[in-house]
Amino acid sequence: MDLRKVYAECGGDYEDVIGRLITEERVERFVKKFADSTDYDMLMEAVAQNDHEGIFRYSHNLKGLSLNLSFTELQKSSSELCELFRNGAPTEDYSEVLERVTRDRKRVVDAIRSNE
Amino acid sequence: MRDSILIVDDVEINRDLLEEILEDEYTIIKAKDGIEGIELYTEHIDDLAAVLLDLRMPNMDGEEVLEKMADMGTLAKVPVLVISSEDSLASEKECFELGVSDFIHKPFDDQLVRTRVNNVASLYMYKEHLEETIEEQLKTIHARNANLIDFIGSVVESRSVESGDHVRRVKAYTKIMAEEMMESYPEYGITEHDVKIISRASALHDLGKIAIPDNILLKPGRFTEEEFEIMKTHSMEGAKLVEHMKNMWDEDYQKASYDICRHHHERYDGKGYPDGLKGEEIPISAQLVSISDVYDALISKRCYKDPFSKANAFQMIINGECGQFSPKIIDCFERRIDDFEKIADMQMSAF
Repeated sequence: MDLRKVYAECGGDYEDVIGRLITEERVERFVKKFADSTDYDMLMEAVAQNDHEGIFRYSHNLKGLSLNLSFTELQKSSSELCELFRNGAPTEDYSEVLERVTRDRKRVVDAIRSNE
Repeated sequence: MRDSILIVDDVEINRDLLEEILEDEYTIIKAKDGIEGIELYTEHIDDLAAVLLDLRMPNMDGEEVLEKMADMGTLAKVPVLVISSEDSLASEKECFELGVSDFIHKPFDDQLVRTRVNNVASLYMYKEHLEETIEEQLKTIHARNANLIDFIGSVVESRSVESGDHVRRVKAYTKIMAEEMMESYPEYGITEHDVKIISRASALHDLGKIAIPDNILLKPGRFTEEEFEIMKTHSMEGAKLVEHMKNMWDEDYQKASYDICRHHHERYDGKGYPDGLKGEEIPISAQLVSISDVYDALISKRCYKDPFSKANAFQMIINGECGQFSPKIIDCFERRIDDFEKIADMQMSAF
């Protein structure tokens, strides 16, 4: 897998991730695990049920994962969403932020799948 | 051997990533939430070098996990590192207050994670090793003290050829009396520790006999009044010797030994020596040794007398024929006479 290409396509920081996690082989494995992970689906389920705690939890998880894997764009949008729900019900409309999370996450997954 | 790391995090990729970073050096145990975390923690507590704990988890969160660990009293043994992506200082402070040792920040950095975990784990293992070493050494010191006291006691005893294993029997009677006193009369505030100290120190009760000349100490038959006065000085002489041993042992040993040496011939009615103390003026340690000493003198053959039977010895003490004891001392003696007789029947080698 051409990891540089994957990271370039999804708005990630390849230099950062390889600096921390050391081997390409390891980064590739974890990037694939991310593409298979269900946290985004859980997030959408929480959104569907208007479960504020769930939205916080799963956006928090997405944020953590994208931090660890240096998916910079997804980290920014998921972090924004997470902050809106930190204290329970959001004080402003979150649909735009949620759209960005969906878009950024799709970019990451698409980049991984298309380079497999 | 503490060679395992417990990772408690609800996000699988985080668990796996930490596992990969640390698996070369440790056996990795993984839990997906707090409940499973506590289960595995309890099961593997003796193998754990460290715990990596996420705070936000379903079912049981990290804070609750920390509280449970605090209740178990194991936070001082196994360090906990919190996995955090929160950059708020307040929550780090709270974590430290809850007993957390350090943090693993996201994003994970291979080298930083290894270094932090290794540092904290080795510090705790070193601390544990030191604590164990100190505990062992304390045990050795206490055993050595006790042996030394026994040895000094037996040196004194060896001068009076007739008394055999008097010192060891008195020690055994004293222990029984002190235990009974602790159980039956809590007003004296005797603890398990005191029982040990008093019974060990009892070995020194006749230490002062070292200062008594042979012609008196070993005289067969009755003392003249003058000789008896010299014999009586052994209490005070013993106390003086104990005073000279001041920096040799713990203060509680010192005090018990001093009281026992000086006051084991005092009598409850004030007719004893050297100070003529009355009633509860006599330190309880000395009262406990006193009755033990008298009982053993009665049942033993001495150069000036034949042994009394155990039944006679018991009656003589109860009837106050050998000086008066406190009612509480007599009560304890009566309750435990069977144990006294068992010791009286033992051969020297049984000690």
